[in-house]
Amino acid sequence: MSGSCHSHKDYTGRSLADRPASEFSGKTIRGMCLTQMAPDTVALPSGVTDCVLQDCQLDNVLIPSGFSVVRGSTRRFLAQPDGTDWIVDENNQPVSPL
Amino acid sequence: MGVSANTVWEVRSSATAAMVNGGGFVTGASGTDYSQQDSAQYNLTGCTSAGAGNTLLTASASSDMVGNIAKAVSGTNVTVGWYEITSVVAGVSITFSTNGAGTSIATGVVAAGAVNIGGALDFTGSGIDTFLEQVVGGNTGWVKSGTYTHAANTSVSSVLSTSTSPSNFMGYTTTRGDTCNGTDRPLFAMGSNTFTGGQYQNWCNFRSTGISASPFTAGTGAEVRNCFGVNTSTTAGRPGLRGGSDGLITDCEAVSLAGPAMDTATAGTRFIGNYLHDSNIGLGIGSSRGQAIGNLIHSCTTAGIDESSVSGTANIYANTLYGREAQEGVGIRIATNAPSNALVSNLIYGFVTGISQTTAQLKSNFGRNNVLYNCGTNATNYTLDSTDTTAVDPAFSGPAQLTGTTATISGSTLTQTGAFASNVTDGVSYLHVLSGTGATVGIYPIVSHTDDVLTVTGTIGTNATADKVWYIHYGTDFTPTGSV
Repeated sequence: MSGSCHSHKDYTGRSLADRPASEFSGKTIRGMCLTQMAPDTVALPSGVTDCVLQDCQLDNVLIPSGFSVVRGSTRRFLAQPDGTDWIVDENNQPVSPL
Repeated sequence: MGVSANTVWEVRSSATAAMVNGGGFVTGASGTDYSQQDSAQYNLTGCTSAGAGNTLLTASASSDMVGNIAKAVSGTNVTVGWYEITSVVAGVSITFSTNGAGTSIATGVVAAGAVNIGGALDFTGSGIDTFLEQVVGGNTGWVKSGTYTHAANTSVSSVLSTSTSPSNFMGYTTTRGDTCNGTDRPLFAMGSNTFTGGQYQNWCNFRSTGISASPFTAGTGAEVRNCFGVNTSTTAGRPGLRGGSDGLITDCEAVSLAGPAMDTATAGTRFIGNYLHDSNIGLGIGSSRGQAIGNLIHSCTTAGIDESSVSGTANIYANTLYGREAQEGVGIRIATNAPSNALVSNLIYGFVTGISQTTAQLKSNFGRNNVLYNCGTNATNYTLDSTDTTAVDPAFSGPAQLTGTTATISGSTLTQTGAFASNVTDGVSYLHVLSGTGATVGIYPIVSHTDDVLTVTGTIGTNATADKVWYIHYGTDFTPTGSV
């Protein structure tokens, strides 16, 4: 495993889905923030093998095969107008406050 | 109680993960400062004790440890937390301070105690609030340039910093105390998490991004200087930076795509000399005694300053409020029944309405010496003072907008031939989409561009009809050259 140019980068709300798989395969990405507004957002590329996402903020990001997650955050949530966002299940039903 | 007031903390994104290091050293202590390195100098295991108290037994005890902060991480009868090493019997024992709550490191006979001495903190992951809650008034925290991705909410409830003895966290670039501006400032990438600092914990030279209802909120009485907060949520009302009660935000920059760039929900917050732009609202004053002085606010969809508190009593002095050349929103908006707001010496330019109160003016609201120009309506439910003027163009030096009405959109791109050949800066400029078939109206950070195509964060929509109306503000020299 080697490091990645995406470690310690802030991509909040942005998509990396169009980046080449070679930027991820065999790499360990540390401390990246890729949080998305809506659950199951496609923000990572497909076709990646053996990529470790460590201590990354991945809330609402759909994690494709080929990635593994170490610590960090992978919650599904929905933003609410009153400011209290909710963790939701696979059917987007509320589970608990974020 | 807790560590010394003379403790200096070190935070680095390259430090050992999960906040497991000591992270601090007491200025003037007799030992060696091991906090300014990524890893702990000592990772002690197998510590024991004779019973409850502040002393652990270990053959590794060494006099150079004195003054370092230790992180107790695990062990039987070990209270996890940060402790100052106050004395050492070499080869025998280490004596610690209590933690911030006044609790000793050993609550009984310790076995298999694990303690890390030295090494910086990483400020990544969870446990940041636990750390900040034991910081003592007088402490200084140095945070090195880098990205700190938070994986949990941080909410600091602590009274260990006070108005007479605050703690100060400061970003630096490569050497403590050096110049730290722009993207050199440490970045708190909050994602969906919230951050609420402790009382009288001051923050200087930071950036924060996020989409939560509170990516960066200062604590009571806290001062925030030279920070930049961005909230990219598309949910309304979420601030870029939020001030604390009787706190101060000064010399900062903020953006919120669907909310206020800066705001306060508590009384007495002062906003002085800030730069607020490309937001739904520039500055939201949501409680009494707010002070807005000398701020520069431009390109805000709904209002430059929104005084939304029914308690009123805001002082709004000497701000430059600029909508856009084609007019947009309200310069200063005052809520229904909000009394005793003072509007003095503000430049209000380029708004649909310059000053507006939601319902009939309360006469305790007053103003003088304001300049209003290029406003469709100067005032609604508000009577201008005889010292206010509407006839003099402040003739600002620099601000202008790129505009267009024939763009098409596809996902995160907006296309109009030749429209972006100049005056667009990636990572700095913002696209305002005003209307168009299939377009989601809003503000979008520009990620990259060619002469013909903008790529933004977020999805504008996909539609080939060439009717998208947009603008991009450029030019930040708001020096008035007119006779104002």
